[in-house]
Amino acid sequence: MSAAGERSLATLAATLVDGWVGNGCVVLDPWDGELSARSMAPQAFFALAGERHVRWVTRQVVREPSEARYGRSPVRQVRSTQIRVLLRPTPEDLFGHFVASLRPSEQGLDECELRLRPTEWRVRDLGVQGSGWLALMDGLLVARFIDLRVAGGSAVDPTATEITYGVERLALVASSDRSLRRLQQEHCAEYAVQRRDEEQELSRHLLEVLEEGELMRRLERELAAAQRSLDERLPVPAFESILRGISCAEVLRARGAFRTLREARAGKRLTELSGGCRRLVGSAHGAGERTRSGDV
Amino acid sequence: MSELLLELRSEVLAPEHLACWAGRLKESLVAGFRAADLAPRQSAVGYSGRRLMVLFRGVGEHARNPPSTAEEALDRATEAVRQALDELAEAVAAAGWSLRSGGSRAVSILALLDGRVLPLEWNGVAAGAATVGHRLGPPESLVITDAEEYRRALERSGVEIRFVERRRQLAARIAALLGSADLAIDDDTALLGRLTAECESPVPVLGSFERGHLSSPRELVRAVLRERQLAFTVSRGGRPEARFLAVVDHPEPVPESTLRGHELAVATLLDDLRFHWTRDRALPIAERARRVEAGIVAGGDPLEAGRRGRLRALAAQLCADAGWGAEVAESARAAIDLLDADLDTSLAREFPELVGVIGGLLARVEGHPEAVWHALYDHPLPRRARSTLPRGGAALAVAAALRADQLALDCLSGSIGAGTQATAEDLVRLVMHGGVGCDVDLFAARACRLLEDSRSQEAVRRARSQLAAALTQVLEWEGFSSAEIRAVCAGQGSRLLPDVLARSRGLARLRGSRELSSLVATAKRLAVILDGAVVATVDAGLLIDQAERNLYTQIGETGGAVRRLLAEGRYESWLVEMSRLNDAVERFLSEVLVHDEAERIRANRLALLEAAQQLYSSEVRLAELDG
Repeated sequence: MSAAGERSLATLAATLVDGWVGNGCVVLDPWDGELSARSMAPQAFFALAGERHVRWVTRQVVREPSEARYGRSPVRQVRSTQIRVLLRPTPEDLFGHFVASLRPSEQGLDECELRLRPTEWRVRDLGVQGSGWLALMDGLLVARFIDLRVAGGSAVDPTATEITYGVERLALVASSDRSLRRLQQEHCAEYAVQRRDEEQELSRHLLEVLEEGELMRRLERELAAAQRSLDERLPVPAFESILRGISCAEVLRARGAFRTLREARAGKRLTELSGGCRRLVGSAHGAGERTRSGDV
Repeated sequence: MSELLLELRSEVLAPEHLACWAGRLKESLVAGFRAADLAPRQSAVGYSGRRLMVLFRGVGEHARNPPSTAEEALDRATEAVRQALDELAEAVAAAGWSLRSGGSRAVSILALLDGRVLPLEWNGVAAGAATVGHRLGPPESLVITDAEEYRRALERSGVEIRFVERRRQLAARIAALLGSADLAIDDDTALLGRLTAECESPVPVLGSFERGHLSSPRELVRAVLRERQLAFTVSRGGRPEARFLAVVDHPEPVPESTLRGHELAVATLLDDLRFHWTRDRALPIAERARRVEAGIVAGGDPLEAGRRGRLRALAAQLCADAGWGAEVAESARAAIDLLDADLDTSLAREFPELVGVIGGLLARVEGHPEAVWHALYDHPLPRRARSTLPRGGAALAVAAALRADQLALDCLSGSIGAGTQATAEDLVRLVMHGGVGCDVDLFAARACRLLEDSRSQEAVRRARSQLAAALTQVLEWEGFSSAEIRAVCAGQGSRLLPDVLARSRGLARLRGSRELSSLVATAKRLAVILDGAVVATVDAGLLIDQAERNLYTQIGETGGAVRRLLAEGRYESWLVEMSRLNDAVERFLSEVLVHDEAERIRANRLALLEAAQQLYSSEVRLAELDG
């Protein structure tokens, strides 16, 4: 395989996943619905309930409407790939593994400058809070390491840590000419063209075409659906509705349309509903319940 | 026994706390070593984004009860180090971080007393004689024997542990890099300090970006580079250059790819800036203000809906109190109508730290009058203790109206916290330094009453208390002592804040003078003598002794002059006048028996002293000062 090939998006993602598998993590299938870059997939969110112990790694495609740049930005994209790692409880030596994972020599990352900056993390719609570190390599933000303290509005105990890598960004750092387009072309020429067109269309769709009133109505429908599922004690469908609601909210925010108290109340409602989901799952998965695939 | 070397290493430590934590570790160690009769002669600290270091020299040189064996010395030192690490861990936890878990978890402890490793295990980490160099240096452990070897080994791996030396080296490198190209950067000590603390091996690099970005507003470019990339904008002869200066943490030579990475990050930020700036200019600011207002009205919260009206009323009041003309008041009103419009912009969502600046810039490019766009641009000012004030009367009026309204809302709801205190301090600074002749207590009370709530009276009381505390804090920032602040605030002078500031400055000019000390001593004596006394008016016919007649005459002569001189701010002349009075008082106190057997005489003498005391408390209460 050529040097460029070795540093392609796919091999970099595989290296990260393999590294965490080597650290005892189970590979989890990605969430099959639309997921915002800052929110959590249902399995991850519910893993924070009760006292479950997990070590998971997932390759997840995410969407970030606020990153819509019509395919013109070298870094910002609506659709991107993340590698997400969730460990609960947090192993003592985890941060050392995280730092080491950023510097695999076979990817040419071991000579890059690494800076770690403190950050307070908050996903308001899910009632998630934590603190941790942002990792910048050669000046580019590539990953975050967050100790989660609160989820769904209640404390996470035992503690959990979520690590998120931006695969494209990390690959950019590893590439010699720092061009995302070149990376995509190396990955596959057709893929690069497709991704450019996709970003242009998605940007136009999200920032211009979607009708704000319809988005608000869709959000309200998802909130109502989540409440109905919760009333039926069905937290997973409820959370799926919440995630769809968050997707609407994210588009509204990206367009600056999420600014009135009415919308703020919708945001608060999302938080309350996700708290309800977590409580429901927490009551079902109490101490000692460690049966799902990938649990330890 | 002479040297202790302690290094605590983590993967990463929060840079803004490093100086505090290193100092805390040293203080705890000094206290512990003193308690163990091992007090050091000299101490030094060092720190970087990955380690804290304390070095003691002359350990136990003057011990009264020196350890009888080297093992005993090790044991005593180990206990002191353990205690100091526990205390440090508490300080770190208080700042929201942890030495026991997460990224800041202690991963190694280097602890040597005269080259011998302390028998210490702390939080599962055994102390040793090794450390590591820079993250990008050779991975091998560095085995250390003493402090000198420690410094040299780190230096070889590119790490300078001494903060001051690291900052000096960085400043020199920046000067050399810029000087060779005749370039300059903003004088930003805080950013330089932040970068020095964070980096183990800080090296400046000059990057460039597309010239087209120079057409974006300069202040936005500067703010984005500084806040997001910790980079400096670069200029030549005062003209902005399409370049930036970043500081990388990389032992020299810095690879070209690292510079390219920083250039990509900066290009992304500036592309974003241009993207949002272009989008935001597409809609007039007045239309954005209408959208925000419509959203607030639709929200249905009456306090929110009435905010703009309250701000208009408060700004108009302030302009009237300050004697500013109708034009200033009109500009303030126009700015309030456009206020918050930038909350509707995508720039503000992407860069919330630029709220205010964005609105001001949009108003500027749309051709709004200077007073209006200044008021929008500057309304978040002052941001902290020493930041600049808004420019012009309209801007001051808008900023003060915003603070008063926020203070009133906080006081009404009772949710008073650090933010409320900061709001009160901002308000005090705006009125005091803006030279606004309005009574800030009355202004805040007006803001509370505008809320038209049954709890307004309680809010007024809370606001007064917040403003009193804020005044003390602001005067402390100005460098006045607590006693000076008490003396000025307890005096009977004008309550207008610019006058309070003038009095404080006048008093501070006399600081340390012998004459003032004499006045203070006498004022304190008078306060003791008159404490609890029931005082009548002076009857000149009952003045018997020469000294009391003298004092009576002197009070008459001094009284008018003292008040006039203080009102004119002539504190040096005031001191001369007061010194004459002081001589008369002192002579009275040494020659006249105040507590005469005859009650009428006694009461008359107390009344005379009370009349004198009025002059010691007129504008500043001298008895409050330190003797």
